[in-house]
Amino acid sequence: MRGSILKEFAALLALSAMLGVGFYALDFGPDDSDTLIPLETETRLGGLLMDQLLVTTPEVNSIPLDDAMATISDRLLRGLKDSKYYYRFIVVDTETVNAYTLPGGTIIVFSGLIEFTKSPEELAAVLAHEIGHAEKNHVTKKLIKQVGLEVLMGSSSGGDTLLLSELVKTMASLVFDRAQEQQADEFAMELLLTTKINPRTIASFFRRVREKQSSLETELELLSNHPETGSRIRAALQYNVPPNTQFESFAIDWERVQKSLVKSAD
Amino acid sequence: MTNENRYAPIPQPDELPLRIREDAMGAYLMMFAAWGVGLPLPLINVIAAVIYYFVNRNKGRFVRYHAHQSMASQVVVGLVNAGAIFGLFRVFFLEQDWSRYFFAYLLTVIVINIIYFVFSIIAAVKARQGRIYYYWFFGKLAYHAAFVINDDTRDRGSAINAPPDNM
Repeated sequence: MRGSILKEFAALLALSAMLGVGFYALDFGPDDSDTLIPLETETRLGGLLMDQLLVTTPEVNSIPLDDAMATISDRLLRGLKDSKYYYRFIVVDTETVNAYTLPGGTIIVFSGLIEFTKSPEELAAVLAHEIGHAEKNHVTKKLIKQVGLEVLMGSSSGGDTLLLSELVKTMASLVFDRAQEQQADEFAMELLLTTKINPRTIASFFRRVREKQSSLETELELLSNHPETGSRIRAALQYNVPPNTQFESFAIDWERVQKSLVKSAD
Repeated sequence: MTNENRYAPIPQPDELPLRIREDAMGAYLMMFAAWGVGLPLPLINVIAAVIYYFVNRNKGRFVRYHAHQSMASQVVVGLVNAGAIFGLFRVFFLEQDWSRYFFAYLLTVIVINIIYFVFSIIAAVKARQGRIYYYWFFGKLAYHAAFVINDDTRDRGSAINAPPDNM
């Protein structure tokens, strides 16, 4: 009797498992690779948001900074395969230590972040992370969840500056969930490795961010927008880097770049 | 009457009064308890099925069998549904993304519930007809629970009332 009961229990479990595996294989779930709004709309929206941001937060331009950003971004983008976005990197003048991605591939970098980073490799790690959010469609998905698809589509036609201004604020404080941060980190580490930048730079960067938290709470938006820092540091340290990998440092005088921010502010 | 076999004999349909058959059928209607309360909580169905079992188990082995089968299967289906409810809560209230795993799990749960619903209706109808109906696994479990004759207890068959001990 016991034997036949167990057999029937095993049969039930097996059938349920087969059902689950079958549904998983057929992959009926939402397709992550599809964008929920057309690319053209997304790019237009990103442009409008950038214009709105620059009304209140001026862009920082200096020759050393522009050269450094071009060098770093070129190397990262060479490692991207088949991206649908045309990436732009805009540095804006604010002490806040943060960077975020607008819809359509524009990445906003706060000058506070550049001042905080110790090397161009650290900045590259942050930029690679933001590229990861864009490539995985996290930005549009999160925006749609927070403000709704209708609002987003409506704002892409421009005109409503109040709405755009609110969306800009939403973008700066957008918090991705743990799975999305993990995906962006994994994407970033792969991209960094491909472009011969040490992926573990992410760990050293976030470790410094965490250490400075107590004294710089109001300025470190980066930390407040990225919870679970400890586990991300561990993941970066445990990332599998093939032995004998040769990394190439950027030939950028980072101190000179940071000093140029101060001069341009003056 | 105590049987020499380990299991008591199963009453036949014509031996079962209508009341007993309806009580047995009622066990399978506990899956609709959550609808009655108006909340999508699998726990309500489970609690209802468990209460039904304990309230009705002394109405005879036939009722005990169906109540046990319904209760045990309801507990398992309830746990499976609770997992789905928890996942949906995370997606809609904690803004977690849909994952391929969870979607597959959700579809599996939906199919399990449809199958369970169909078999519960069949079992309810059979119980009303005075027939034993065996689910996979739960049927044999319930049969053992309802019809086994323990050495230290007197088998009362379907009778509620019985003579005192040692008479």
